[in-house]
Amino acid sequence: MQGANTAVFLGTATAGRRTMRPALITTILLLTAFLVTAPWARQPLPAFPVFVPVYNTAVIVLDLLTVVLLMAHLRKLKDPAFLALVCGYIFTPVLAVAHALAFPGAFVEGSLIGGEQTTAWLFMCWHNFFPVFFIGYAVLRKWGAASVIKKSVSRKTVILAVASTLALALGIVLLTTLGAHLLPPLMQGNRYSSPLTSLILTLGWVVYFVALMLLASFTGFRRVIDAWLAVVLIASMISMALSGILVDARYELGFYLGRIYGLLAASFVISVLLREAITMYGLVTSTADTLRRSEQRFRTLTDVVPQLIWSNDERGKPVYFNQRWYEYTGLSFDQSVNDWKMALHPEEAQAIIRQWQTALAGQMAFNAEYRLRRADGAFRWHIVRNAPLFGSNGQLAGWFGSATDIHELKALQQQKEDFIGIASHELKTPVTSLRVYTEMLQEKFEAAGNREYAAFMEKMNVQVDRLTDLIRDLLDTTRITDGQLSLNMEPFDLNDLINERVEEIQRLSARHYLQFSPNGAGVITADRERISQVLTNLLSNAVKYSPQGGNVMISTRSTAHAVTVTVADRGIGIPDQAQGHVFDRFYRVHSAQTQTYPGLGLGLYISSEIVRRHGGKIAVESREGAGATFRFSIPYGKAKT
Amino acid sequence: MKKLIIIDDDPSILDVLRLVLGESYQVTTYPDGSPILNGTFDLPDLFVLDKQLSGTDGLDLCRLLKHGDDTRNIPVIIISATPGIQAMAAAAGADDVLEKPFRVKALRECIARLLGVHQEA
Repeated sequence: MQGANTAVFLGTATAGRRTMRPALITTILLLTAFLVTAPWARQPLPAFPVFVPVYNTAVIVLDLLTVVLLMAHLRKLKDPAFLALVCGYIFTPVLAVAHALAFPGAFVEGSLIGGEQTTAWLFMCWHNFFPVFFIGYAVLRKWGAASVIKKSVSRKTVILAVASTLALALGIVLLTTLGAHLLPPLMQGNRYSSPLTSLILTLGWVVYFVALMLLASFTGFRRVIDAWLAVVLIASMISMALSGILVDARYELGFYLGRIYGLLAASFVISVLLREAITMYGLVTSTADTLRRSEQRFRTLTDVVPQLIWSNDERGKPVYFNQRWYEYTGLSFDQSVNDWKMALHPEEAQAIIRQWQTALAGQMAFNAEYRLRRADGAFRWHIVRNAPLFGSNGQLAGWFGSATDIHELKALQQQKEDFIGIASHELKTPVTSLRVYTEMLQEKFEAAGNREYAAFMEKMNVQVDRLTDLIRDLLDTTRITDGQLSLNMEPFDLNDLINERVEEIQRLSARHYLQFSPNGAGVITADRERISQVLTNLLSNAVKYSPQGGNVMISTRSTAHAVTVTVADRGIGIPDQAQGHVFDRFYRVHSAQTQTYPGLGLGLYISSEIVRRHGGKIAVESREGAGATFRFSIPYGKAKT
Repeated sequence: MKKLIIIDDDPSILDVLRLVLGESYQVTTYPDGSPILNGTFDLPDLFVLDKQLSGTDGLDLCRLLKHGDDTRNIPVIIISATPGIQAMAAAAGADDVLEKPFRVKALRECIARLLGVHQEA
């Protein structure tokens, strides 16, 4: 946006062929007119002294208006080069006022101020000093580009420069009026007789020429205004040539024509600045129009979507609500702004307001799920997002919020939780009976010495255990997903627990040898049942995925804050690409070389979640065909609740 | 013979528990908690209560028993299909918790331990 703004200003607008053309055409017209009229410059015309104050007044008005417009640029762009121009256009009118007052026959028979030579000296100073300010402009542009000076001019510098310029101008006025007798004469009556006149005028001409060259060389006419300043210099040179160098006396054709060129010279910069102002006004109007249309589109959009939408200012005060908000809450705009808290459920209101204040203070996005009061008094669950908006300068500009109705989704979630809770409960009851019956029958057969039937019952028991584990895993997965896996923290001896689990799994397989090497560990504070579940899962996996049998090495190792348990087998291992996924929910390793193993793909997912909830870590290292090593750590007494 | 009162709203559980525990104990079963609430029961040596009963919650019954002058010293085992209720059960005064489906052996050991501990006290 910054770039778009400054491009409008001529001070920074880059010149192109299109923008240069008017300046070039004007220059050609000026020169042509000069060449055509120059031969008749000495043609005497009737004396018309009032012409001078009229002309000077026009120049004064144009210069002062130019100053006003240039000052506006200076205030906005702070370019030091513009300050040189401002001073130039302040200097000229002061001398022009004195010149008009001193011109003989303009207001009274003689001069109002000064003497016979005053106007000539004022004219010389006025025109010879004017290009100096343009030289200043060119030099400051060069220094500005080369970073010799600061790019931004201070208010103090502006005041100082303007005051110095006024002092210089007034000094010249005083010297040429009160001190006129000290200066050598330039005029004899109405005639420019002195060789000094020619010398000063020629010198002035040289200064103009130097200004033009420096302007061209230092600015390269890179900006639109540079070209127009060159036109001003050329018009001024023509003006000087016609009214000073080419004429012999006042009231010749050149005297009048020169002043017309002077008027033109005074009008170029202001014309360009005015045109620019009009362009800017047009731009503002069209931008405002675009903004209005854009806002209209935004409002239509926000009114069409089913969400409740609002925006807040940078302090968090609501400033806008969409139509849907008013329909849903039944609140008016004033109520919404002042009493939006009324829309919150009393149970959550305090926590939500606290969370919003924290987000507001930290300028962080606010995300929450809570109930919003409908016009009829019913509360419905919404997912609410309120994001901070930052301006191009990085400052907080405001907030943009939305609320999406998730009431049905919430109800479905609750239903799902209830269903799984009931279903698992209902499944567990018959499984409990089944298990008690099979165990009892096994005991009976063993007591009766019927070993064959006792073995059948043992197999049946294993299947009941599998069924039990599946039900438990499904229930655990639901609890983890809903964030409801609770831990019963208690101190216990980890080595004892590992021994128990190792003995249990060892009983299931004669072809495997489970070897436990405790090293440190001892008592930790954790959920014994859940850690037991992790151990059972890792140990039974080690057995399950070592179909050829072999050793399973279990060890513990203590560090300052945690104990690490390692379970290593020499089984089929895990392919590289699968290692990053074995802890994912429902993930099962698929491999062309390996047979399919039964399971839901939940064991490692649940184990990793149990370890994570304890504040620990779990990882796997494996090479396909060479076994797998699972390692998990549990902090001695820390658990996330 | 020690006396047990078992309360579960599932008749199949009551059947099978009567069968496996009947050899060692004198077992009385109820399908709900009304005899406890009404005080119409003979004092046993141990209670086995299902947590989720129709009508009354097993933990509420447990709390009631642990507040009664006659029953506060009688051990209570809570059996439940809901995992992770150890803390809740302990708060209600239960002496132990078994998660369904449990092993017969675990139940027998638990009963024997609590009766033993109780006898020594």
